[in-house]
Amino acid sequence: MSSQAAASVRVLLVESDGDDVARVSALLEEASAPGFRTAEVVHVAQADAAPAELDARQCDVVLLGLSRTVARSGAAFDDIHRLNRMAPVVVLSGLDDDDVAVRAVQRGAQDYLVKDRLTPDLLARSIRYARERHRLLAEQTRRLQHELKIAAFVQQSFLPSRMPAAPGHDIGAHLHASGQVGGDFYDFIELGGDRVALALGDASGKGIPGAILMAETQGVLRAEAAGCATPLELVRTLNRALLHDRSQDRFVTLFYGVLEATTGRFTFVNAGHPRAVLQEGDTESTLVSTGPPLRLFTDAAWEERTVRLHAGARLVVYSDGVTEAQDEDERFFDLEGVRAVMAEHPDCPAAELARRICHAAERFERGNPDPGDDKTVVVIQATEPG
Amino acid sequence: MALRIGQRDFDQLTILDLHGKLAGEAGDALAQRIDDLIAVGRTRVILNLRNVSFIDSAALGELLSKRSSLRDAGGQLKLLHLTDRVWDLMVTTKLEVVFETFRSEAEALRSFEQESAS
Repeated sequence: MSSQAAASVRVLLVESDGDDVARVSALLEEASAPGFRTAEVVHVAQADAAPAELDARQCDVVLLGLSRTVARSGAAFDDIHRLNRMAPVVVLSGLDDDDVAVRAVQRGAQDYLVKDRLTPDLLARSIRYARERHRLLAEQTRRLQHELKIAAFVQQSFLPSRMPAAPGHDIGAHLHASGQVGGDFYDFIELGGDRVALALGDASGKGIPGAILMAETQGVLRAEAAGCATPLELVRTLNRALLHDRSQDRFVTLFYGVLEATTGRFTFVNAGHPRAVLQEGDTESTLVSTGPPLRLFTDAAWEERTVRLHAGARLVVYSDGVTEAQDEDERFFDLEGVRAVMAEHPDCPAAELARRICHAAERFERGNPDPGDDKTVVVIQATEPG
Repeated sequence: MALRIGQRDFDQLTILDLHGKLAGEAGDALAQRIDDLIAVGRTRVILNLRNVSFIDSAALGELLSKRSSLRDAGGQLKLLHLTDRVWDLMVTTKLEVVFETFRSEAEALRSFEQESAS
């Protein structure tokens, strides 16, 4: 694009006052600074009509006129925020007030000009800078989005690519990420013989910080699992490793268990994680927390417990994003929601059940405008007598 | 997910009445408010959680962090009126022994007085 073409600007003027429309149009006409020329001024009276015009007429910049009253009421801030996503916004205000100006800029306005003091030069310069800043910001956002996509891809690659071999057991898992990167993870590690380790963790903090802590946890866990004789030893070792850096109060809740496939013995430590559900026929037990999350205390008294998975038993371990999913009336999905999906699908394969629970929780919260949390479910079903 | 924070200042201490969900960015907002209190020397803080429907793990991390900041500044953070769900979170994470929690405001206020006296 030549500089001449780039300098030819199509302006969308949002202004309800007829006199101001005429005045600003005249100023734009006059503003013929080097590298700036107004190609066209498109006018709408109300901000509500602006998005459609921006789309239809491909305008390069929005001049958003505010009367004194509107500027003072703060009613225009949402308009600024909305329009800024489509094009750079320069506010032309009837109110000379620094606080209002700062708030306008915080909501995305590129500049806040007072109507009484407009000159052709000022307007031309402001529009040029606004366009340039908006373009740079869009470019940075694109780059960041791209990097986040790569991070999410890397994070996905941490998840096990296949389910472990555990004779007499059907094991499955599902993870539904709420954002591009998250703090949930699950893993399976074949420990040799008939022993398989299962881990489901949730690193506190969303976005990149949560993702980094999750990656660190999973890395240490994979390195140490085979060398630890018991789940308790693994949890202690992992805690020590994570406490190495205590720069922030972030923690990891972890459900870690080892299944002996031939006997059905399942030994676990629940480090501050939501209770897991074990159903056998008509009876249900919950595997509640047996100690605090990791990375909070140097010495914590975690307990190890053992249960037996008899033929037909179903163990469901999940992250709090599942039970804390909330619908539009702020009701929680809760353990009841998990139980309902289990009851509805009594003979479903493990992987399918994990997926169904995640999807049910995700569907449940669809009407809620607040972003949900990651949802992870791991299912172990004993298919043959242990 | 707006969290509303009401503030009641007593002679030596401050009660923050929280309304809403303590989740996502709300944790940051609360942390900021406590930092502001520390900055003006108000380091004895009670969080009234009666109207907090739920606390997520990020916000729980912030509570731990601010508990430390207040202690470092010579004060304390105490929790009041935990709902069943929030209490369940405290029990699951075993943090019910880390945070001092109260069922009545008078009792919480008295606990600070007793500490001042001793």
